[in-house]
Amino acid sequence: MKEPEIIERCKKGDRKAQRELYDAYADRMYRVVLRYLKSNPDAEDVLQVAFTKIYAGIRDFEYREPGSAESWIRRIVVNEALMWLRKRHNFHMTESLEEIHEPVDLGAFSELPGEEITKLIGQLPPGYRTVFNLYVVEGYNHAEIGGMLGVTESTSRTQLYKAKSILRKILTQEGFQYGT
Amino acid sequence: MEHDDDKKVREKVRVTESTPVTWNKSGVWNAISFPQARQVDFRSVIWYAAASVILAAGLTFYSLMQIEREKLQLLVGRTELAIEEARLQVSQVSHAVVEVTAEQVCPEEKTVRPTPKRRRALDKPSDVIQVASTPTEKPVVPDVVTVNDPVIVPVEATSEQSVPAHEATIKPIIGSMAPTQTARQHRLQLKIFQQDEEPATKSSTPVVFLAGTNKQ
Repeated sequence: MKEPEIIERCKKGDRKAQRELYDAYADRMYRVVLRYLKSNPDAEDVLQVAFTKIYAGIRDFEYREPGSAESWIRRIVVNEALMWLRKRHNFHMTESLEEIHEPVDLGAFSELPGEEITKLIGQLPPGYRTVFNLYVVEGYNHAEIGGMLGVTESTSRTQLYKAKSILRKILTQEGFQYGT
Repeated sequence: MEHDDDKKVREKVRVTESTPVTWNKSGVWNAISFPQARQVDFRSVIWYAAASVILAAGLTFYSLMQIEREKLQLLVGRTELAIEEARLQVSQVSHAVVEVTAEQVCPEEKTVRPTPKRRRALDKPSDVIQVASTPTEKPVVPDVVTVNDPVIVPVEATSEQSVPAHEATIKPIIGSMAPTQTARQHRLQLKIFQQDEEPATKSSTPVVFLAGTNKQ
């Protein structure tokens, strides 16, 4: 069964199509959630709520091209993870640094294997990790991140700067060389 | 440069997300499909267990308190009953004291008082009676009835002259004795039928114990 057909049958409430959609995206979305939340039971809870919302809102979704369903599902899952984080983490407590303009070089970091990158991202504090995931991995800009987290754009920039600084510090401690 | 690094990171992370991972996939699906049969979270189990323990402890404490309260109420009831009976007895004793005083004032009138019923051992009426009799400060006449023995045995004076005397021939019985008689009966019979005789004269020769020497 192809993806457009699955979507159409899910709109009619077909239980089998729903299961196929779940099997197609559950593993990937579970790892997405785990990048935001470090606890497995919490990630399962978030995923359960997210798929419930996906099945409830799929009637309003319009399939346009390959990958659009994944983007739509990913957005719902990420939003649900952010809602979970907002209940337990106060993003307003993070400070903003207006005078920081110097970019942080993450050349060595980007050369690491994907599993190592995910592991290092998991070592960041929740605020930094969230902004880094939203900006670098999900591709949102600072204005969108500020709107999603309820913080200013500058705060989002500061969080990203600090996150990258910490990642560079960790790589330096582990012996990675920066620069030329 | 910075954006290129971010793109590399994004692509690598996306590729990593495509690799399968072990997790409770079927459990989450069951929770999605059947929200009513959602599996109980381990943290919820701990929470409910702790709440159950606290509830059980509270119920146990409450029941123990109820038992102690019932015991106390029972004890209070018994004490009140004893006090009530003691008061009743004090009133009876006071009534008796009034009667005794009336007897002292009018001794010719003899009243018959019913004896009070005997109380139980729990009441301890002796102490109560002592306490109740002190405020009267009047001599209490003990309720003692002297009963004279109405049986009179008449004793008639007898004299020797009133008894008629007559002579009768006495035939001594010598040597006839029933073989079945005991020695005592025999002596009694001999004593009864023994004639007055002169006491046997003592021998004139005194017995003399002579001192002698031991011969070896």
